[in-house]
Amino acid sequence: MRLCRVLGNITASVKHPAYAGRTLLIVQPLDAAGADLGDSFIAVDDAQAGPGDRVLVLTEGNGVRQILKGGDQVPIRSLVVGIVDEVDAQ
Amino acid sequence: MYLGVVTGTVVAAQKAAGLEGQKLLLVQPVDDTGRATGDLQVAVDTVQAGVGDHVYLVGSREAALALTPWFVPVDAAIVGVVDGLHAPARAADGAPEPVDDDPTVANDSAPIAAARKRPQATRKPEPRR
Repeated sequence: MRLCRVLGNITASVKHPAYAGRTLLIVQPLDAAGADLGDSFIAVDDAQAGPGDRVLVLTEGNGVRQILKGGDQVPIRSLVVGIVDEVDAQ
Repeated sequence: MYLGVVTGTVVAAQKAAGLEGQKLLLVQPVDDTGRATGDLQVAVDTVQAGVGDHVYLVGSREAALALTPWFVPVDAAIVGVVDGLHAPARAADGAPEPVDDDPTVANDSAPIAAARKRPQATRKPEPRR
């Protein structure tokens, strides 16, 4: 899982049926100090996260399929699974 | 999953079983600001996207799951066409907010320029920053 900051959201009317009704967020990976680390990517929201939130993003497709319970054919790879309250890095 | 801009089409007469009838597009991955990230790639299209469209893709094994039948050899699939992109928290780190289309500003990126012409996009990609 990765520590990320939610930058915002994406709207799309033409999309794969597996994405129907799901919120798409743009997330920016962070290092332990909260600085940007690498390129932003897209994740489906499963934690009611919003712009500015620091979140936990699951980026492993099999785990995502188990959480979403959409069967074996869900083409979703990244899922926001938690909102981080605090990071304590020594 | 990640954003991309469709820059062209790919035609292949000889394809692996399961890929017959699938449309292949050339895609430049971009980040939320429209900056190109990484190399051009070929993706299978599931949403009837066209050249110049701002799209989002899924990679790796999940790309194959976007197709029916689903166990096919692809590693990137276009799964949506972006209508709007709103990233208010991007400005929080001090990065400049993208500006609206301005013909007087030089644009050195052809694929991004094509995506900027999409009328529905509420926030267009900006040139490399």
